Amino acid sequence: MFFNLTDEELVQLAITKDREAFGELVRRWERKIFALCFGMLGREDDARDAAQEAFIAAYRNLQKFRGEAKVSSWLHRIAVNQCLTTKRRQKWRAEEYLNDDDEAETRFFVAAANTSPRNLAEQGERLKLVRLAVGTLPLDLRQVVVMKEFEEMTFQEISDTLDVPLSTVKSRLYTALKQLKMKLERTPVEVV
Amino acid sequence: MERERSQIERCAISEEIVAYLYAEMSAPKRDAFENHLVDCAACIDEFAEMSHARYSVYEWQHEEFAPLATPRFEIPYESQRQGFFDGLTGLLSIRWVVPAVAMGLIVVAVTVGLLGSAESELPNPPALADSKVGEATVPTVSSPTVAQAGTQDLKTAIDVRSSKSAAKRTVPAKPVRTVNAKSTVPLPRDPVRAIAAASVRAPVLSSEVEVADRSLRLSDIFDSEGTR
Repeated sequence: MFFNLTDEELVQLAITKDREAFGELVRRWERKIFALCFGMLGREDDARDAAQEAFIAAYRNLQKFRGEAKVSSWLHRIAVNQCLTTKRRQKWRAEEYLNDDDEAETRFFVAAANTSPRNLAEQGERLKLVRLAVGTLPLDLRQVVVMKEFEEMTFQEISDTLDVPLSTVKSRLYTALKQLKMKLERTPVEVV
Repeated sequence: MERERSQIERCAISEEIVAYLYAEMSAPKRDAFENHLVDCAACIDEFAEMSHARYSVYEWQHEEFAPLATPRFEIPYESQRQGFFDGLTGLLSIRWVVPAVAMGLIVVAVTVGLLGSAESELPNPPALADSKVGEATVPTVSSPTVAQAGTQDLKTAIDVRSSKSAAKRTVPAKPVRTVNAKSTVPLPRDPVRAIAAASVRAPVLSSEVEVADRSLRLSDIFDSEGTR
């Protein structure tokens, strides 16, 4: 029912306390927000917690969204701020616990369990697309992606192995990720 | 879109994005990058896109490859037939073999050396047949010869009738007594026997006397008494 609406329209509906509209917003952006948090924090558990807190913060601050920027940018900024807060908090204490009030609101926005058939089907399709996208990368770009993600080599090690400058390695990896992004966006995941 | 791309190019954080994504950035540079992200919307979006692309590859690697069991290869070393040199190499690869062999060789060499030096120190045993050193023999003299000895050495007059049964006796080497240069007869080794032999003059019996008749003739006795 909400999948035809734009992100801004969903936000306007959510402002009117339409929780299902906000739920649809969460479902659209949970993966990218989670990926952003993972990129900043480096751990899946921390990234999941940070993404949840980011959506909670977004729900609390729906009124402040003016429409000057895209909803994605707005969510990205909230997520980045939340990750930085998490990092500062982790410096002070070992573990972070959500209080009861947060848990109540979090429960409403919890993303669908990964073990649902739909999610598993989507994941399967997504993995196929990624495999195809990586396979169609140019050889020099694919090399760097494989060495970084599969072999877990450092940039210096890749530079020494391929006998290229360090900046070239980083540049190739950046270009590879850019091309992967375009390939993945071009072919959306469709679950029949 | 174009404005965002130019903004990102102005920021020139493409290399910083990948370095930050893979946590290969120093702490000061990381803080500076995070501070920039807070202030730059275009770089936040760019970072979000890169993060999503990177996580897609990460998820693919973890979902499809991480669960795969590492293949285990078993090489049947025991069933392979080893050649002589393979067995020798295996034996020598044992820790204690080489030192033990070396120690054994050293012990054998020392033992051989000691035995060789011991043999060289032993005196040469005297030759029983042809030794000329200190050889003393009972002289077999056919006629008595009296030597004029000017010294106090024993004067001996040996009248020894050689017989076929007289054996040439050899005695262990002893220092030979020096005798007067005029002496031509070597002194006997056994002076007691020599004196006893000299004091007894064997009666000269006629050749006509039979060996069985051992009694003396009265004539012989009277003859000797008469001459007193």
